[in-house]
Amino acid sequence: MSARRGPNSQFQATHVVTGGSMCLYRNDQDRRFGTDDQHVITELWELPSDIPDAYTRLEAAERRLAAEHVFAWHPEFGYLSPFPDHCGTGLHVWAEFHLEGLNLIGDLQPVRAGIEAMRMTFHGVDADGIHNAGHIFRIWNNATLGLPERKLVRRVMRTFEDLVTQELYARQMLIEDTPRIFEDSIMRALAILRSARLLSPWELFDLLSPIRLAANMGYIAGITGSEVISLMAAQAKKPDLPPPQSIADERRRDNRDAALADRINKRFARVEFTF
Amino acid sequence: MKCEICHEADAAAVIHVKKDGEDRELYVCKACAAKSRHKKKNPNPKPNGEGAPSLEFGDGEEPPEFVKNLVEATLGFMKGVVESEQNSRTCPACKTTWEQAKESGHLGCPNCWKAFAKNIRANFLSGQYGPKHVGSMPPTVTGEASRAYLERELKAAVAREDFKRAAALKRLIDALGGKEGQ
Ligand SMILES: [Zn+2]
Ligand SMILES: [Zn+2]
Repeated sequence: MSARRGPNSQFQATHVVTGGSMCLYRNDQDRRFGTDDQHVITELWELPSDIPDAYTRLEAAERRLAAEHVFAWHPEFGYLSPFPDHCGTGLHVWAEFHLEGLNLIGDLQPVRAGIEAMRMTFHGVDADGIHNAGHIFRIWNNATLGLPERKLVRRVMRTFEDLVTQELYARQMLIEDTPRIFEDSIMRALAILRSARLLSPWELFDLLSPIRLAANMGYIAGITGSEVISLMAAQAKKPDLPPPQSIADERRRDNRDAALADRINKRFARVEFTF
Repeated sequence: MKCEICHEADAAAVIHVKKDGEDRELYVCKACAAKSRHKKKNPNPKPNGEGAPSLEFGDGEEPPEFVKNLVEATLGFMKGVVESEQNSRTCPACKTTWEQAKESGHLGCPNCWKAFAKNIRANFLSGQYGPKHVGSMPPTVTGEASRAYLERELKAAVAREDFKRAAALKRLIDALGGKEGQ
């Protein structure tokens, strides 16, 4: 097998950033802080470059709400919330990234440190004893005080755009400079998916990450990138079983994992790595 | 939050004053802030003349006479509020204590932000972009309040027999003109 340059469509921003939203939190001035009273206005966006337009829509929705409510506000702290570290503009921009390329070339830690230095939260999925399962990360601004909305929006947009660029660059490096690492991670995952006799939902979620990367880059036959994404999403939705307390609990868990392994063995029997 | 000088408009700025050698803060409306800015003669205007002079008085600086008078005039009201800001363990509006709020990470009501301002600044704001809010303000503060809001406020003012405020609101509503909406 040899590395070859695929069509440009193998490096798409939509493969990396898999959806984002932004929220404004508002509370009424004349009420005690409860759990139900908070107003949350939400807008969705697809690509980081859409963030400013999404904020324009959000701002309009906020003005409509402001015509009907008197928001809790303080000249120093801005819009007030029940949480003493949430004030200022109350604007949070949130996104989900798939960063398997950065993980495989070993650049995830410095990138994460850079994002955190921008006062953003960088949160992997930790479940089933797997740290950063699937290398899916949720990133959002945890600071809301001291930066006006439009500046924040531009800053977050640039940060997200940089991150997409870095991940796409990592994917390119992976196939051009370290193809053996790329092949190893995909074939190892495929081997387990085809032959494991027990698979927990989170282990499956984690194993599907390199497959998703390869499918997005056009190197997988027999399953599409979007099917891999739905399979991952389905695992993430399954409720965690409590740690087994008895032999019966253990058997129940094993039965679940065996059924999942059987289904996945069958689904991946004819999936091929075409690098 | 209402302006602590005129008690009429919503507070939109903070001014710092010194009283008995202690720093104190007044939350004031735009008009009152402008008044105190006007009264505060800046002895060394910035050479580039950029921006308005700061409303903050330095440590050794005596506040201007105007602000002193205001502080005297509002002392009755201020005493409770300022003291509650300095030492408050309990929010006067909802009775939440600072210990409870800190423990649960949850404040009881909007007034808690004022009652526990010092504690919040010291304990919760280090990860923020800056120490103070910059950005949009609610229309009730900028003066673009909607007719619906003003009418509701008017009703409330009449209900509690605050006729001075009711008259002011009536003038604002009349000034809006037109019919429904803005
Ligand atoms: Zn005033
Ligand atoms: Zn309170």
